[in-house]
Amino acid sequence: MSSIIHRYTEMLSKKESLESMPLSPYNWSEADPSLQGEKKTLFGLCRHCMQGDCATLVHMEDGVVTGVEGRAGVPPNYGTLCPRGNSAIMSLYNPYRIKTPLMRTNPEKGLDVDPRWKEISWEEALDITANELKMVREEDPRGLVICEGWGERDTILRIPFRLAFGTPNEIGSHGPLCTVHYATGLIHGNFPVSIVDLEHCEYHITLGRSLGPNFATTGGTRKLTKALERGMKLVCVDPRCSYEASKGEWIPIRPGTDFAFLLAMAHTMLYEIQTYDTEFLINRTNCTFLIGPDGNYKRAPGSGKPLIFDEFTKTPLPFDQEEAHPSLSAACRIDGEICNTGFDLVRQGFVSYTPEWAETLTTIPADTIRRIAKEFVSAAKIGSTIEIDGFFFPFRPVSLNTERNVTNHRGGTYADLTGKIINMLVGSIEVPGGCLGSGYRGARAIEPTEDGTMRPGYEAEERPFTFPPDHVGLVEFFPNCHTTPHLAVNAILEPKKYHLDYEVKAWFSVGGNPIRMNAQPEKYVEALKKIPFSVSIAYHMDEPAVLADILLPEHSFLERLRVAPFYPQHQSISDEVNGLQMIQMRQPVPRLFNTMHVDDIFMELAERIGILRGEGGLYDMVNRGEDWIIKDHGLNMNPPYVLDIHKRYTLEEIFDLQIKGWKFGDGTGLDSLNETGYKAHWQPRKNFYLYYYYPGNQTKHEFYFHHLKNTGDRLRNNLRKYDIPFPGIEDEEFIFDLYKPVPHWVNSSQDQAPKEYDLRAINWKTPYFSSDVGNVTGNPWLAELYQADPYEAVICLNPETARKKSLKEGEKVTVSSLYGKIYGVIRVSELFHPDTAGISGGYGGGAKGGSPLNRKGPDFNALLSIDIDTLDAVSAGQEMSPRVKIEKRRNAQ
Amino acid sequence: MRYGMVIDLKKCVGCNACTIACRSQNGTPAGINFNKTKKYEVGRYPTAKMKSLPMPCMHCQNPPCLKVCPTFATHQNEGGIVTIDKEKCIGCRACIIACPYESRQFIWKINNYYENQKATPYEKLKFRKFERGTVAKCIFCIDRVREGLPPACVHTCISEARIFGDLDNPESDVSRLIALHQAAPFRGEPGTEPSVFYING
Amino acid sequence: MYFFDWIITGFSVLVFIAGGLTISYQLFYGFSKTGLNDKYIWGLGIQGFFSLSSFASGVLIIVSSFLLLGADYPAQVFRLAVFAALGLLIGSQLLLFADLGRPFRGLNIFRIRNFRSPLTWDIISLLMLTVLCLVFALDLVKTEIFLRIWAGGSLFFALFSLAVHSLFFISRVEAGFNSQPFGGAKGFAYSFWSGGALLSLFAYGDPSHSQFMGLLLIFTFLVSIVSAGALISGNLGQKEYKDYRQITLSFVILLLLMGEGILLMEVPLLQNAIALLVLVAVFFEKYEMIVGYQRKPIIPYPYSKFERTPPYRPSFVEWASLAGAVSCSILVFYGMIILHEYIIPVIHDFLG
Repeated sequence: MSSIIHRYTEMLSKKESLESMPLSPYNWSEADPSLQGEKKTLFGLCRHCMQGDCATLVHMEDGVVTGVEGRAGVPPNYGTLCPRGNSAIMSLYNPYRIKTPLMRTNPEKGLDVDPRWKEISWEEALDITANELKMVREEDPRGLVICEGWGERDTILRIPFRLAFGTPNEIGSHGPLCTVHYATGLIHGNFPVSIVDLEHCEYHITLGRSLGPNFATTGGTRKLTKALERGMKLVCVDPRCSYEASKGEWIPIRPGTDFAFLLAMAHTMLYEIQTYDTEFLINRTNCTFLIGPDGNYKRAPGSGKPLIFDEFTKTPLPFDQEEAHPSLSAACRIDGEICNTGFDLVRQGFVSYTPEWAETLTTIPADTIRRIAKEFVSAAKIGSTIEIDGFFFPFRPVSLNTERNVTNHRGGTYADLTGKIINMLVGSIEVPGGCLGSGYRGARAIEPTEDGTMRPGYEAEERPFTFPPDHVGLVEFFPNCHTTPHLAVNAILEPKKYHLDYEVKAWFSVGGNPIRMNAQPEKYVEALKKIPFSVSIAYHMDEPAVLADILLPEHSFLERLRVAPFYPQHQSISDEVNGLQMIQMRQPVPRLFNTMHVDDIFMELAERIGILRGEGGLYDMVNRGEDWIIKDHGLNMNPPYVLDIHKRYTLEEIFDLQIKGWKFGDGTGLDSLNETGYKAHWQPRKNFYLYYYYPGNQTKHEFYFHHLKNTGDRLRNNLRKYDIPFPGIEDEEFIFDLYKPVPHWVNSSQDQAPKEYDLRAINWKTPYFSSDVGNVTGNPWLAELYQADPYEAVICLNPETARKKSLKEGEKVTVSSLYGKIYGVIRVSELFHPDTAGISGGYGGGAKGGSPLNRKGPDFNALLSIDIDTLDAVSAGQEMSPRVKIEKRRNAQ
Repeated sequence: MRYGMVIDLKKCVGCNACTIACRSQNGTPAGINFNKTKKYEVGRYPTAKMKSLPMPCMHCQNPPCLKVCPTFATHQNEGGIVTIDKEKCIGCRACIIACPYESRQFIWKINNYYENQKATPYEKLKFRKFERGTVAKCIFCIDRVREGLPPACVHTCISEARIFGDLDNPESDVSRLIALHQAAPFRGEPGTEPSVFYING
Repeated sequence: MYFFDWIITGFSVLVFIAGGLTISYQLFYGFSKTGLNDKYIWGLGIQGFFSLSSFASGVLIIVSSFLLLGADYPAQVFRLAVFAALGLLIGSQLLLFADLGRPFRGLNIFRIRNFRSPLTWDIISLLMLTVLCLVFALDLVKTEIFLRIWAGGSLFFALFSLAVHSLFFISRVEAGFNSQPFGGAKGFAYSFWSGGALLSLFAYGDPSHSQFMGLLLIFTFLVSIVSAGALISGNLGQKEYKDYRQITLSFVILLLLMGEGILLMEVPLLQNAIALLVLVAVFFEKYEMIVGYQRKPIIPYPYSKFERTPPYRPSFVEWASLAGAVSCSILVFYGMIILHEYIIPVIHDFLG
């Protein structure tokens, strides 16, 4: 082995080898003549978006894949398929794929520098990689960073591999531009997002997100269509009038000010309308808890139980006292300290956020905000009930949902939480018709703690503090963050500044591409150049691949065997999939190139590093693991179907055991799944509403965000304890201002931008690009569509704005933010708020040897920032609507 | 028996799943699309709306393209589906000029999907159905329809905005929807009698 | 033949060799090098075809009308005119076949014969005209009655061919005056105009010349009025019709002709220059009709709001094909003259 390493390093130093990326077109080998005339159909499972749950049929003829279509009659898509899913064939037959293991021979790294690839065998590639990783592991396992992303979400062994390796450093490249998880974790105990019950909802307000139409999701779009047909009213608060907004009421808003709208709406409900679901607030929230001057629950001496103020006895009582009548609104003196109910504190906190105040920020007329608040409250049908499967639920057919374009600003977590307050005021949380979590739908999600409030789940559950920080992504300083490649980059470039006591020695890309999918790409390139060894499990020549030392080519998704549990969908729920527990499989098509299944790569590497078998090895970690999102409902190694940690398994054998042990299964394994392609188990639909598990006053949601405050307090204490400043920030109040228990308006990080940066850039997902999976931007079928789409790959401006700036349709411009600049062509459209520069999708970028299509279009992400002072302090979310200026490009080609 | 389609514009979200499903089904060369979705907007800010108009071939009962074809390359099949026999087409393009719906395209050249790259195995197999110098158009997925399946665009539509069926049968979904919503063809004025009807156009 | 004619003939031979090569390239390899695209389905080739065939129709309509009425006619001028018509017809058909995606399958038109297709009738009428011209040009029309029949046939097919050209676009336009670019009076008027111009050219130096100049003046009036009428009705109605170039050109020609007539300026060759200018004007008119018409979106506003209009720039091959077809027309014309002036007498002498 060492000889290979030696040869490799020698080669690097000698810069031998030639130009390795010939420009000549790829010669496809002829189809196997023995397959002439053969026709067959395989069960497919789509993976052209992050959700990847659409059932498909893959048709083959003469050994060639000739068609991929939705599988009729099978949930969740029931035969339908979006444009990305329909373009799957092109991601198989893609000449820009990596077709054989490659090794870099040019030590100089850069996006446009030819690595002078040398073709090597799998044995060599795996040996070199394993040896490098082994050396890193022996020194300090934390020196390995695994960068995951939507590009490879079919793996089941990545996490076990990381755990067996012993590094905490796994970073999702996709996360910080979509930090939508905290409030859902806190209020619903779920991950990833809150959704709407489109089977029952009658009035839905949606901000910064799409229910499906805008980026063409199969289930979401159909559910919405049905709900609209049923008469649901849809209100879209958005700087852009999308297809979705066009189907409902469009409320144009100045980008980045959704939080002000939410505050004003809550203000109107609290001060003007004053109709609440009192029963919900008293029984199911911590509204009635008495809060001391320190902002914490006032607790009963002895039992330590939070106190409430009893309406009848006019005394503080423990919250769970039988027969007590807690006051929603009360003030009392306990031990000489004035205590208020949580409800009163929240209400007082919102006193100044009048609709008139919000109008100046959002440009939404105050009367419109009032009207929407009124309509929302009256549509909530407070007091009504509904029977589902013999169980009586409160019926609240309204929901307000927020997502990435609301949460991805400084103060975004507050905004998300304010949305929850609005829903809680009318009691539309986790009941039919209302705002629901998606993910794990079971009792565990809202199990109460001894305080009576439910335990925060997933990202709302704070990460422990260690110092010096363990995690290169600095999660110690952002205990509720989503993924943090942007922080990792800062830490890799300046480890000292971020208190890191080790150096990153190896970078392992597994479907993640932060260079294209995050911000300030040049910084990522710099960081990757700094790391001595980089390996990429690569599907195509993307940016991390061209910077890698070793490329381990993987199957395109059609070639990957996959067995996956069905996750509740991201946008909405309805009778179509409500109650559905399902596992689905993908039968692989024959592989085209010398590629491997990602999980086989992990097993091979683990074997060579010596971490596959035995205690603490990869198989052990597989045995111990549980589905991160749907826990025991997912595919786990349930006894007796566990792996013998001393044996070697194939992926099929692992899947077989998982299927046999599936909670809702019938004990059969992969063979039987191979016959049907999926197994569905329909639970009663009442199981989907978490109210069902703890009805009445059995559990409480936080209305007064006690947990958030405590997290902030603990973080502050830890900083004091180790006597360190908050890294990357001058005034730490800038951080702790966002850890208050009652949301308050905070200024955006963009307010300081010079005056000429007078517009705010916005971005949205499109039917052709929803997330960076299977290189959809390099897919020629989709490219043909987006090039014909008037709103794609252009800079959209309101006609009034264009007139003021004397910019014309089709004019070439430069758009610059404080962090980067991009080029584009103007599109004048009435569908945009005048303060907006609309830039869709994730275009631009590109690397040498990759698909030329990847280079086309404006790269919105290059306008964004990875600076810590631009982030939302809780979720570490990046600012998604930076201020920009637009200038004509003179002499543009 | 007369095959027809109803497209509900109130449901359509302009995603072009139909266009790509059609490409996948029919393997049309790059630049040739049997289905096209016109994207446009109406109104002024702040009451403007984003709109779309998906346009397959209208499969007119009285097709102008068929009349101008000097060699009967364009013909009407059972159920009124209008198709082109590529062996008979002389490439005069009079039918494209005659069509009021932009439904037809001339194959100037068989373009590969990946620019400056060779034809993939998929293209090698599928492009057999196309010939340079002839005219191509939507065929209502006649092969699927003959097997009793709906056209690919109908099958894939994510908002179920497209419905396919027999216009002559008053009980069929299409006839029922046309009656219910007073669906009308797009630009029926030239007397073409299209078989594609739009709801809420 | 004069020295000047020989120069033109020689030049045409050269052009025809080059143009012929590109035409045969187009015939054998189909459309690989055109400036056409999905937006511009028909271009210079069809424009040339329409122009040349409309010249021929114009000439034949005038010639056959004279003959049919039994009026005294300048036999020599008409002979030349029919030679020219023959050349134009052959040239135009060459251009038409070169403009097919599958040129050799074009012969299927005769085999399959869809009599509902305007294209079938177009080909039939042009072919009939060609045969008639050939019969006339080879002096096979010997008797008076036969001549009348010939004239009747020519007039019918020439008018018919013009009428057929108006049928292609019918389905794409609504009814109404001049909303139909190939239809109405305009196509006929322009054809007559070019016919008049060509006849005035052939009658140069002949006593009948002034007659044809008079005819040309009448046709110029006709064209100018029809164009102006189209503009006025277009502006009054909903149609966007802004063909100012055509109107200007026709009025300039009108002024030139009237000025020349009123001032009695016998400027040498001015009349010929005007006649050539008329031919150019007709060629431009065909450009507006074909390319200009296709520039408009087929699907109306607002559906076509964001539609891009790619430019149409005829490729070298298209220009060369056009030049080839035009030179072919000229060659046939001179070929017939040479045949009659030099070859047939020699044959006669030889046969004794």
